[in-house]
Formats: sequence, C-alpha cells, structure tokens
Amino acid sequence: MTQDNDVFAGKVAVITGAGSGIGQALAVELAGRGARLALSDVASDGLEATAMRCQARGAEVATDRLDVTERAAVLAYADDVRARFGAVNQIYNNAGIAFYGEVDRQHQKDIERVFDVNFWGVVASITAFLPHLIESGDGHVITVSSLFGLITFPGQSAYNASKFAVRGFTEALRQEMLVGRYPVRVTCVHPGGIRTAVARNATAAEGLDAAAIARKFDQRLALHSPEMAARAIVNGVRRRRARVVIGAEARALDRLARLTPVGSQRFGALLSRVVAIAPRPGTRP
Amino acid sequence: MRAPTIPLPLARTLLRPLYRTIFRPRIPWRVQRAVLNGVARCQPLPTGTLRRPLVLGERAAERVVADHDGGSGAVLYLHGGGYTVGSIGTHRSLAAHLAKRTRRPVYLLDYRLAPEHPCPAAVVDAVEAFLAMVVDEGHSPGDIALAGDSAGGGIALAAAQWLIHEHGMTPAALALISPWSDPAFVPVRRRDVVVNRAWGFACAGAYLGDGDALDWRYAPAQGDLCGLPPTYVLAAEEEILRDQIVELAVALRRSGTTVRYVESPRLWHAAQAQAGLVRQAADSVRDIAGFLTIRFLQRSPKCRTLT
Repeated sequence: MTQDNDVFAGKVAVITGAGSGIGQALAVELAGRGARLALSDVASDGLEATAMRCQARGAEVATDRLDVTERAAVLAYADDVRARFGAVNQIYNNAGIAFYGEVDRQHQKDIERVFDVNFWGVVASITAFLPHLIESGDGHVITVSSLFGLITFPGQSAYNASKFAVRGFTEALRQEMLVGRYPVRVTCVHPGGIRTAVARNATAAEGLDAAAIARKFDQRLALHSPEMAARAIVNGVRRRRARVVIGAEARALDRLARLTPVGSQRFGALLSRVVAIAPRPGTRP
Repeated sequence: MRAPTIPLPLARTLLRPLYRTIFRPRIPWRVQRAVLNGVARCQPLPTGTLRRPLVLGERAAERVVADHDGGSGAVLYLHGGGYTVGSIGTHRSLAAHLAKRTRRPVYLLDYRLAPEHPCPAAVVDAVEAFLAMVVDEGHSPGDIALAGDSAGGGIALAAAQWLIHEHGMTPAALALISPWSDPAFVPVRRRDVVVNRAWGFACAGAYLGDGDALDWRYAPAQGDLCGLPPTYVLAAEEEILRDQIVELAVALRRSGTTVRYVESPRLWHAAQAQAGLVRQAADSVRDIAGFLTIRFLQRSPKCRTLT
C-alpha cells in the first residue's frame, strides 16, 4: 500500500478543468493520496471550492484561472508551475466542453469551439508540459477522452470528432514515449456517463433546447458519480494502464465497437432513439 | 467507562434502511418524529453526564454537562432534522459528547418545527434562547458558541447573523455540522445514507411556508456573512449537501470569516449524531470540541491578560 501511494505522495499533479465534476473529484482523490496540486479552470468560482476540499485533506494547492484555448497562457502556466513546485510529474488533461447538434444544423464555429477546448487545449497542455515531465524522470500524461472517443453517437459529431482526435494524439504520444524510452507514461481515459456539469453546461445548435437535452442526458445516461470516475482514473494511473474505460456500459460498448465496428454504429443510432436525447422534428420520439 | 461502539460499516448498513424507510414525504411528520425519538433511545450517553431541563425564551431546553472544568463558555446546540423532525432526545448523545470534550455546558433547544411553524419560527426561538442564556444563565454573549447539524446548522448560521446585526452580539464561534443553509439549492445526487432529495424538497417546502426563498432567515448562506466569528464547517464527502456546504465555506472565507473546513471521507450526513455508537463520529465531535475550546480559552480574561 505504501508503494502504491508513492505513485502520488509528494508528486506534482496538474489538473485542468478542476473546478467541477471529474476534475474536482480527481483533485480531491489525489489530495487524499498526498499529491501536490496545480489546479486550473476557466472559471475561478469552482476552483475555490476544489481548493477548499483539497486543503481539508492537508494538500498543497495552487489555483489559477486558465483558459486552455489560450496557447501562450498555457505555455506560461507550465513554466510557472515548474518554477513554483520544482517539478511536474503528472498532468491530467481533463478540461472539456460538450456540444449537441446535428451535422446539417451546426455552424462551423460551433465545431471549432469544441475542438479549441477538447483537442487544441489538450495539445497545448501536452506540448507545454512534456519537457517538464521528461525532466522529472517520472512523468505521466493522463488525457480524459470519452466513451464518445470510442463509439459514435448521433448529434455528437463535433464532440465525437474531438474526442477521437484527442485519443489519437494521446495514443501516438504514448508510442513515441515508448520508442524514445522517455520516462513518461501515457494514459487515455474514456469515461461513460458521469454526473458532471459537462452536459449541463453544454451548448446546442440553434433551435435545440440545451437544458432539456442536458436534463435527459443526466436522467438517462449519467450513471456514475465523479468520485467513482476519479477513483478509476487514479487506479489506472497507479497500475500504469494505457487505457482506462470507466463504467460497465462503457466497457460493453467499447467491446461492441471492436467486435463489430459497423454494427456498433447501428446500435448507437438505435440507442439514441431509445433514450430520445434530442429527436429530430418530424420524427417519432 | 467507555460504552461499546459498533464498526462504522455496520452502522452505515443499519442506518441506511432505517432512514430510507422513515424519511419519505408521504409519511406524516408526527410519525417520522416518533420513530426518530424512539430509535434515539438506544444511544448511550457518556458516563457522568448531567442533564437539567429548563426553559430558554419560551421553549423547552436541556442543559447537558459532563466533566465541567468551571471555565467560561457554553454551547447553544440546534438539532438537525430538516426543520421538520428531530428533538432534544435525538441529539442528546451528540450534545453530551460535545459537553464532555469541551468541558462546557451544552444547551439543547426544542425549537418550533415546520410545517406547523415555518420560517422564521426556529430562528426566532434560537435567538430568544441565546438571549435567555445571557440574561437567565449568566453567560456573556461572547462566550456562547452556536452549533448545529443539518437544518440546525442553518438555524445556527441565521441566528448568528440575527444576533450580530440586530443585537450587536457576536457569539464566540460557530460549529456547523453538515449544515443545510440554503434549502432552495438543488443537489446533483438523489440520495445519500441519510437523506434523499424528495424528502429534502418536502422539508424545504414545509419550512418555507408562505415565505420568501431568498429570505436570509430561510437561506442564511445567501445572507450577510460579514462579521461572523470563527466557524467550523464540516461535510461528509458523500452527502448530497456536500456541494452547498463547500460553497458556504468558500463564501464564508470570502467574507473574511476564519473558516476551518473539514470533510470526512467515511462518515455520512450529520453522523456526529451517532457519537454514542460510532467511534469515528465521536472522534469528529472531539475535533469540533477542540476548535470551540480554543475559542473559549482565547476569550477568557486569563488568556487576555497573558497576551
């Protein structure tokens, strides 16, 4: 057990999107395991709550308002964290946004916004922190993709694409670290339905009620608590897993997608009708 | 002298079905109250506990003492129970443990409950009781700490604001255990070991009556938090109120209040009420008592001349 906690005790962990949901739960979980935390979020409100909870567990915490879409700010932040803590061991690329909209109803800018945060935000963070992770001699990159980085779902084209992209980037990074024998491990996380603010804060294409979609998502697909997700991620990091799929339903769908890539598309389409997240007008709900 | 305790997982396993059965909106309030009072009888009190019934303001109360060392300071304790249930009996064990660990008297108040008496009846009773402790019991206002769990935490916070802003009296300290200080806040989770959302809505509605949900006496977390004394805020990690308790702690700190925020990973909502049965709950009460005792000692004249 002591050995297990050495993975986190005294280690410097960077978490983006730490103000709520999985990010907050991750911070609290790592605080309980003795990690030193550099927390950031685009909104500072939730960050204070996260810091309060981490400090209650005796953790050293630094909080910063950071928009991962501002590349220069992310670069400066990485150097700042390195300077303040003396090292950087683990980065949890957790910040992400959701968006709902069918391909023919969404604007280019909607898709770009999703990519700016979910993909380019992660790229910026990894490129900014990678030198520090290598330098530490004991680095770990953890990227939070999604179940929707494994399977596709109607109305999720932008989100799906961004999460598939981030998965590809992360997995290739892992291979490079292996080939180059760098002291950096890489984990890609695919959470299933977690009760977080990502659906509730989601935007939707014009003409769709984002709040109603979020409510349906919460009621019908959000099966797990952020704490459960955080524990699963931390366990995966401890065991040096390359891939962490969270939730029995996510693991089942992952298997389905690998067993029958085309059949899983049909299944996803059927599922979207059953849960009726956002039926198209003129179609039966 | 130590009463036997039961292991924490067992306590959780026993309590969950009990609470799940009685905390239902469709069960009449008086039935819920009777069951809770009955169950509370199996809670042992620490040896040497002395109880004296009295009247504070116009409400029945009980003065609980164990190992009183004669130092100044006292605690006015507001029991929890969703503003609708709970009594002196349900929280006597907690009060006795608090009295033992602070070595100060703890006054339990039988404040008026909703829906018979909606907001602000409970807060009025708490304020009246505080004033009676000053006038009848001879405590200096600055030597009285206000404490409470769950709804009692909300009442304690509202009463402290009332005393500070209306009477110019600042209590010695506040101890808020799993406080419910914003009944209009909708939690993400549906239930925890103790409470569930549907029951919470029923309680919040009963306590609101015809009032305004933004009234600070109803939702003291939305009120003026400036000038509050040092405050101990406690949440259980897995309780449905956790997010609003963290928000309250953040708001208190922002307003300049000295806050000690504690989060217990294994205990449940207001588990401190089971201090007589669960060792970890008793340990938590001891930590709260430590916080209050330091405040009492800092305020005593002896300490003042030293500094």
